[in-house]
Amino acid sequence: MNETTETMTSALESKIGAFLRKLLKLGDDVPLDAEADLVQQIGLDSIEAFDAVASFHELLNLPIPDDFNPRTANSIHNLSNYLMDRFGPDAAERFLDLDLDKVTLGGDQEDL
Amino acid sequence: MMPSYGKKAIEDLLPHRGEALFLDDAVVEGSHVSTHATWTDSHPHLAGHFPGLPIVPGVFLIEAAAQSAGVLLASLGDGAARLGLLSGVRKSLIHRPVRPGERICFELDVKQIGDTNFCSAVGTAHNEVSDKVLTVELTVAIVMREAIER
Repeated sequence: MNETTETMTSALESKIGAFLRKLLKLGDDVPLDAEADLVQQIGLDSIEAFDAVASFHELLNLPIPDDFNPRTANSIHNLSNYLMDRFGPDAAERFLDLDLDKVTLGGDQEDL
Repeated sequence: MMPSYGKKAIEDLLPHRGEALFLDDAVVEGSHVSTHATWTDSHPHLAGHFPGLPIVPGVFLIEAAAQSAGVLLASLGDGAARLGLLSGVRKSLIHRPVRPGERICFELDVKQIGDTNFCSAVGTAHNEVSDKVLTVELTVAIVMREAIER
């Protein structure tokens, strides 16, 4: 992995972590290890994990591929790799450019 | 020929019974399902929703959409052994009130999401004069009945 890719991966993992915190309303005190399994270790239930993946695709206006394998996106690290491998650096850049304070995610309307 | 189901045939596909079964009929065509539902004045919930002004609760419309997806999923081969359980309402717009006696037509596209146990069910519902009453996007979990009977 070259330095540029490493920097991109690190930035993506950080952004995906922020995305999950917003989606799941997790406080900053909840640790989100990039390698941790979203269900087995971080404690999402199956619909939360699915909703995270669905919302992730929605934010990028990308369809969930018909052959989507949830095991390829079961951690922040894997979700980052999935985005890069499946949709390429342009999609990764678009995700990094998102202002998460301005996007609407599931449950946000409860705050209205 | 497109599989079509009357009320009795729907009972072979869904576990709902009595006033909890909202669908009158269903037609499945590939990943698309069309259904009809009508709520009458005598539905026990409508006496209180609202007294003197019965309106079908919006959640009934969402539930009818979920039942429609359930018919399609159960029709895929395992019958009532394969349940579609509503697990998320990603979007719902209720465009206008539905009164008892209105025949509502639901049109939904149901698609399994990759190699997951979840489906999206996306569509609309209209009344007899083609007024849109519901836009909905649901997440439906596919579970085997025996898995939740334990």
